[in-house]
Amino acid sequence: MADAVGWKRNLRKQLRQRNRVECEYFKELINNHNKIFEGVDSMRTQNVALQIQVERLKQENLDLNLKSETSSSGNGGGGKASNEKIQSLEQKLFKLQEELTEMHRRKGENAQQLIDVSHELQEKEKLLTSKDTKLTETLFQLDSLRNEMKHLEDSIIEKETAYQLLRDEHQALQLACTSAEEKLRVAKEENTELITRWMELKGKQAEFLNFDNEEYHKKQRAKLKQDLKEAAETHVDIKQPKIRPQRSGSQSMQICYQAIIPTHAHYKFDAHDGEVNAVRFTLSGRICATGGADRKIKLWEYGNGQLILKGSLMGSNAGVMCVDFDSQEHHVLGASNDFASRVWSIADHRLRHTLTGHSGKVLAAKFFGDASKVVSGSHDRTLKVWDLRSKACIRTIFAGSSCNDLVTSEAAGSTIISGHFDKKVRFFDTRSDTCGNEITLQGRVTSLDLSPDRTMLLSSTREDSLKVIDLRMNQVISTCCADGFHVGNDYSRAVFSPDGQYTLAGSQDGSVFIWNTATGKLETRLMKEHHSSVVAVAWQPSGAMVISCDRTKKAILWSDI
Amino acid sequence: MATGTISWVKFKKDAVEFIKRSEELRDSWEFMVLQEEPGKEILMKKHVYRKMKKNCSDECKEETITMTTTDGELGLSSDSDDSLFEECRALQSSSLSGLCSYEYHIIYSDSYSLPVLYFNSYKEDGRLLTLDEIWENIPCLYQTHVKEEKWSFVTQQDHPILCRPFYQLHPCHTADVMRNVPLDWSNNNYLVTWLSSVGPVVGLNLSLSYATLGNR
Amino acid sequence: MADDREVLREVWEGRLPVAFSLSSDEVSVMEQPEPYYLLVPRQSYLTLVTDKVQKHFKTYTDPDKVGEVWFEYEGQPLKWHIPIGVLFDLYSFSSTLPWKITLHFQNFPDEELLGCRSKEAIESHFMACVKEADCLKHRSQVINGMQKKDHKQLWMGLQNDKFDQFWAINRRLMEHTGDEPFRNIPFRIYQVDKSYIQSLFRPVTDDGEPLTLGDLLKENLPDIIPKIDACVTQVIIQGVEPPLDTPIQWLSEHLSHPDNFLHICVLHETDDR
Repeated sequence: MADAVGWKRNLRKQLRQRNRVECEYFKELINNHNKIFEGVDSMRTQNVALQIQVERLKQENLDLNLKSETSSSGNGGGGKASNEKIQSLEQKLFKLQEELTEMHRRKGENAQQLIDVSHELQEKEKLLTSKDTKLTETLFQLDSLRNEMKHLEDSIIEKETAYQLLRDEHQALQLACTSAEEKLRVAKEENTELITRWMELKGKQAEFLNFDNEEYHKKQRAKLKQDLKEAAETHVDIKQPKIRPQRSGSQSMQICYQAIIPTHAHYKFDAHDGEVNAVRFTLSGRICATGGADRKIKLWEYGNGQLILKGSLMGSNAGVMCVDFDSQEHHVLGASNDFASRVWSIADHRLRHTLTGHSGKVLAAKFFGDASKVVSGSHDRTLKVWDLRSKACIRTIFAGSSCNDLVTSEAAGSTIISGHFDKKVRFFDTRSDTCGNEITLQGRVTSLDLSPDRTMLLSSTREDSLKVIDLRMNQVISTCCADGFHVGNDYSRAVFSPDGQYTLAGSQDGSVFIWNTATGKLETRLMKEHHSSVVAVAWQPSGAMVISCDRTKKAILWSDI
Repeated sequence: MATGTISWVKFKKDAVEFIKRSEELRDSWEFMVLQEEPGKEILMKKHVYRKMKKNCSDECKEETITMTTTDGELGLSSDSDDSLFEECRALQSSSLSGLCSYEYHIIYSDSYSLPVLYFNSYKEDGRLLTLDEIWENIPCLYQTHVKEEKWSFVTQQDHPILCRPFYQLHPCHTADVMRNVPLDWSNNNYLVTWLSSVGPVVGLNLSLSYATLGNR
Repeated sequence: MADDREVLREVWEGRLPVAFSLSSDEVSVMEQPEPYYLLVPRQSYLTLVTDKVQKHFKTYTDPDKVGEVWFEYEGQPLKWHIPIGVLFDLYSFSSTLPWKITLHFQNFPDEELLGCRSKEAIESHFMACVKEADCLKHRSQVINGMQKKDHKQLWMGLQNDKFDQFWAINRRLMEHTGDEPFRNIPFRIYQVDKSYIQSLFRPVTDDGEPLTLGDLLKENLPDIIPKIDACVTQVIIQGVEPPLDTPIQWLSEHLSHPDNFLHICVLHETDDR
């Protein structure tokens, strides 16, 4: 506690000392000083004020002095003389003043004039400068125009030379043109000449062909005459031969009541040099036509249990794939691998029509309607309908797949039924443009045939079976197949018997099969006669005989006799 | 430790982090440690150029030109200083009127347990900006605030280390502001948060790249 | 307690006689003006009490060149924001009185002195100090609990040199509840040509034993005590040398300047002129 008091006392002492030394000693002094300072300040300001006052008074005094002086001088002199003098002087002064004002006025006028003139001058100068600038501008323009002109002239010269050049070129071209035209004309002439020559040759060829045919006919007739003569010599019952020609002339349809299943080969012959691709009887059954790889169609007449060659129809440039007769038995139709179908007349064996337009092999062709139309199916995946009167293709049907065979059916409403490589059977209505229907089978379709009553369709496929399709239901109603039956080619044909009871087809191994249509039961197998694949078969319309053709020339007539 | 304030240790840690990032960004911040004692280190950035605004409406056009000198230039002696000087001269001659050079110092205040921002700003002729000019250069946004209590906002103070006049952003409100920041300072950089919120008042704009500091 | 109040009053009453004169370079009239003598309060600030002096000298200088006023003692620019008493103790303690200060109106050294264009600058500085001091003493609780008019009264008390007006408010800032001392002592230690020292210092040990001025000095200037003992170094507060065993809490309460800081000047013999 004593300590605490100690430091506090010490501090207080020091503080008091501090205040005494720093403050109290000086307090009075500084207060006094400040008072004196303020006094001095106030004195100083007073002094300044007084000085200003003094100055003012001095000025006043001076003014008063001046005034008194002037007034005293004015009052000082006196006297008339001086007065007069003053007056005269005043007058003079007045005059001079007037003169001065006059002078001033004139000077003013002069100055005004001067100003006007200078103004004018300025304007003129302005005008001049503007003219000058215009002049320079014009000169400049002139220069530029001259330049332009020169340019234009240059360009004209240039153009002219170019023109000359072009004209020369043009002339040269014209010359070339005329020579080319000349050449063209010559070529045309040559062409027409060639055409006429070609036409001539064609005519000659046709004549030659016809001559050939006629020769053949003559020979035939001579032979016939010979035969007749021989026959006349032999003693024969003349009743029957008499009737036959009559029948043949009437071309009546042979009606089959019951087809007879043949049992053995009745007559064998070599039909063509090479494959025999097609065979067909006329509706009357009197004439049979075969088509072969030797590019010929041969017509055969049945008599005395054998087929007698009536004529060969030539004109095809490749193998014949299909043959057909018209219902009147006037014409025969052949489809050829040379992309064309041809029509010959049966009576004179002449070539009537060549139907070209397919871009692939024609695999099937059939008469159609009233025999004035033909429908053909080709490897080019189209079907074409031809009008024989106008000799033109009137319709092309895009079937979508190569057509192997086709049949036509008026009863089924002018329908074309085609069998295709893509395993489909297609139905086309000739009266509409659309594909009506199609049936898909298990294999490539190689042939089609319609039953006599037009209610069933027989199709042969590469999966080695025949399918009987009911057209009214578009359904397969029976399948004909057998051990050993193989469909050998894409154009192997199968047919119905004339009464529709049986189906007939040839196999790859050379046998011929006959099935029952309704049941699909194998009726018979005719073997050991053909030695190669059987391609085409046909059933004689009377139902008594069957013909089959193979790939090695051979054709066999089968019967139960 | 009162809320909103930070300890000296935390300040140092943040400052070291900050300076590391600055070096990465070449942002020319420096950290001068005079003594290992509170308030004896300066985090500073020099040569920040900023256009003086003529009046408040001009402020929209205000832009900060930061002349970032590379490390090499800072480290080297006289001739690089000359080049810097030349650069400044060029800058002056190209856009003369109203460019100021700012210098910012951040010092930890033991009294307040807060970082305090000191700064000085020089005109092109080397004269210090007066307090009135400093107030004028505060962005429009804060002008009403400035008018009401400018004397407790920015004033001139003796620099606690250099002992010469510096302008000081008053630390009175810092704790109040920072108290309202809902961050955990043990994981976040107090310095960045504080500087990015008060810096723009006196033209110190912090790059966004600092924002990721301490966000672990 | 009455003694303590007496101490406060005596501290407040501290005045310094100053002889202001105008820098001879800046005199624009023929005659050198005479010095202006004034008693200035130790607690106040130079720019706050020299209105009359400035007005007096302005008439002697070129009005075109008049800038901000500043003061200088023997070539040392005087920082106006440090209380006058501290400036005197630091630079011219024990020199002859009155204290001769030179006045300048030109070439304001803005690299060394704070600008002071208005009384508001002084007020702002003063209030900033008070706030910082309270932050150290009471975590700003007292100052923030005051109203604006209280702040104003504090300032007006200083400006008008009114002890009672000032201490009516300042008493609350110096309060400490019961035995609880200040958290930290707001102080600054000044030495010539060095920056001031300010750090956190608790006025009591962890055991609650009060610490003294000597403890504070030891902590901040470790080698000072022998020097004081050898009389080569003086420690001056408010113009006096307090005993080193003076409790620092008491010193802070009674010998602080109005800005609530204890300004301690440490003078070394060699520095003494």
